This record gives sequence, C-alpha cells and structure tokens, in this order.
Amino acid sequence: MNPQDCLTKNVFNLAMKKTLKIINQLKKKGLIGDYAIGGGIATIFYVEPFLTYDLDIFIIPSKKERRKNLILLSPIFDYLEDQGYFWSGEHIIIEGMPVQFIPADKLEEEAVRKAKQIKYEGIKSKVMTPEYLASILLRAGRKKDMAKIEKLFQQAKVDMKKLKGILRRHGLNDKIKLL
Amino acid sequence: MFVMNKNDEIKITMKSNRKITRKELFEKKELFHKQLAKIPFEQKIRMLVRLQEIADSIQKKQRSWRIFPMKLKE
Repeated sequence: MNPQDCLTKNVFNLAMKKTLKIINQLKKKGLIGDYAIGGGIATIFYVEPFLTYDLDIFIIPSKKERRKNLILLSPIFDYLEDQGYFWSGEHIIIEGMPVQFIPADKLEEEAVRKAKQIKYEGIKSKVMTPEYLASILLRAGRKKDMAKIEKLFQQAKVDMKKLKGILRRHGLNDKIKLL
Repeated sequence: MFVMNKNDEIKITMKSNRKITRKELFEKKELFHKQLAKIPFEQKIRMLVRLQEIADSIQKKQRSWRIFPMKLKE
C-alpha cells in the first residue's frame, strides 16, 4: 500500500482495528486481566468527534502481574516491543496510534468491569459507560474534563441516578453539587 | 442548553427566502451536534483523524495518527 492510499482508504480505521486486536491479544495471553477504552476516545463514542490524540486503555492487571503495592506493566511492554512497537514519552505507539496503558484504581476498575461491549469493525472491545466516564472526569475536575462532561450531558444519555450512585460509592459526594 | 435573549425572535432570511428565527437557528445547531453524536464510531474515528490533520497543518507539527504502510500487508 502506498502513502497516497493512506489518505483515500479506510487506513485509519484499520489502525484502530489493529490496535484493538493487539490489545485483545494482551488479554488472551493473560498479560492483562481486562481492559476498557476510557478518556477522550471513549467520550467520542457517545458524543460528536473532538480533537484528541491518545488512546487511553484502562487495564485491570492480571493476577500474576499484581503484587502487593506493585503493578508490573513491563511484561506488556516487553511483548509490544517484541511485536515491533516503540515508545514515545509515556505512550507506546501501536499502529501509529499513541496508546497509554493506565492501571485502574478502584473506581476505574469498576468502570472496566461494567464497560459497554462494542464491536469496532468486527473486533470486540469495551468502552466505559457515560456514567463512569463522567465520574472519572468529575473526579479529575480540570476545565477540559468539565467540557467533556458538558458534551456528555448534552449529547449522550447519562443516567443521573447511576452517576450519583457511583459518586457516592466512591466517596465523591462533594462532586454531586457540580452536576 | 439554549438560553433565550431579546434578539431570539429576530428573523433571518436563509437560502430560497426561507426565514427562521435566531432561536430556531441555535436549536437546529444543537440538533446538528446531537445527530453527529449518533453517527457510527468508525465514522467518528475517521473524522477525528481529519481533525488531527487540520490541527497538524495549523500547528506545523505532525501528531496525527499515522500508520506505517509496510505494516498494512496482512
């Protein structure tokens, strides 16, 4: 395929598709327990496209990679490097796409477990639900996070009861008044 | 959410002499964004990459998602 084809064909969808395939392989090989797409790309799943660059993958580490007070991500990175992918800052570039693997904390772990099952061009994946995305964004609370929350409220169906429940369960009661 | 103000009932003449109020104009704009939110994820990713390319051209940087042609052969 020549570079001109990259502009005209469905190449970028192919990049996303291949990236999801690679991440599914990590799960299949037991290098991660589970994962879900979060951050900007997950928000775009529910709202109109906006500019973002990285693909945030929230992961639940596999049991064997989880030790007391230590999460080992190196086996994931070793595997990806063996596949020919390389590092750029905090991201690993998979199929031209900067991917960040974020070990999930308690709230994010629940978000991963309850994420929506999707198919991207036939590839199975999971995307955090709008309620969990909003909770994580509210907790971060930066201006750019609040802008995403506004989009979610305007353009997606956010179940307020579920959202408030998540915030209460995770000690984020003070964030309810921001809604 | 659309907030009314005193100019909202002012009529605007559109193409073919169609007239709409400012209020209607902004309501349609909101609807347009909601409709964009409903398009398939795959299509949104294509649009995102286009946005990245536009941003690249303005910022004179290259940050848009690139795929290396050699890796495409499967």
